Amino acid sequence: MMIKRVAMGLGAATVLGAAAGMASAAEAPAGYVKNVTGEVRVISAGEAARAAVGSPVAAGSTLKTAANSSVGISLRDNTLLSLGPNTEFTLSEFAFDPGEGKLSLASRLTRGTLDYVSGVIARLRPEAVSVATPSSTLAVRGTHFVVKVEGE
Amino acid sequence: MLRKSFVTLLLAGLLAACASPSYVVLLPDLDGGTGQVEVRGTKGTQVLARANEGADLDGAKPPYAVSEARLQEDFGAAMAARPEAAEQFQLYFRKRWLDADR
Repeated sequence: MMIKRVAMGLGAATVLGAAAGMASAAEAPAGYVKNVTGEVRVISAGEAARAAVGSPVAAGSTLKTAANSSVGISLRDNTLLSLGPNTEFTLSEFAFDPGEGKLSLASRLTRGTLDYVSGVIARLRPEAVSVATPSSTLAVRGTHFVVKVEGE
Repeated sequence: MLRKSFVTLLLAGLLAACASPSYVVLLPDLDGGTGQVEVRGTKGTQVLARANEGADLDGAKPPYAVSEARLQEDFGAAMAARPEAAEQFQLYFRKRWLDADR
């Protein structure tokens, strides 16, 4: 009886440990830059930095590519995003914590070109994934697509 | 003079015809299937469900086929920058071992 209670206490401790691990995972960046060609900037909390392989991409960040430039990004849920030249793209919202039921991935393509391969969030909760453009909202149901937004 | 303006008009016309609008194209998934994208535009809603099918972002026109040449011209650089897909494993845990010593 006593042994069983100890075992249950241990179990509870393990669960708490796992929960703490998840909390820190939620603060991890949404993703990372995997490749850069030419000149690419990541604007995060008003600060612009030159993107390099391994640069973190947080929710709320905007990426801007110059002419003849491109960038590839991989998000934690395995969504793959890549931008062509003269592109402005914002990762508006990212939450990937399946244990807590927190899943969302909202982004915006203001101008330029985007290649989008959806990841786990789109598979678990398709309605939580969208890409906004100046003239529309794209609802993503687990898929691969490309989008182009003409600049004015 | 007349000829010059004609050439200018012709050029403007050609440019307008060439300028491709803002649009989206559904592509095959990396594992061979095809998903779905719904375009909720300011002028209508369109659903793309077939590979290489495209729609203007305002949603005004029904979907149309997009050629490989046009895809390469508009999206070549973005597609070339796509990172490798990571191997994915989904782990399913059986609850039974937790209950075993009850």
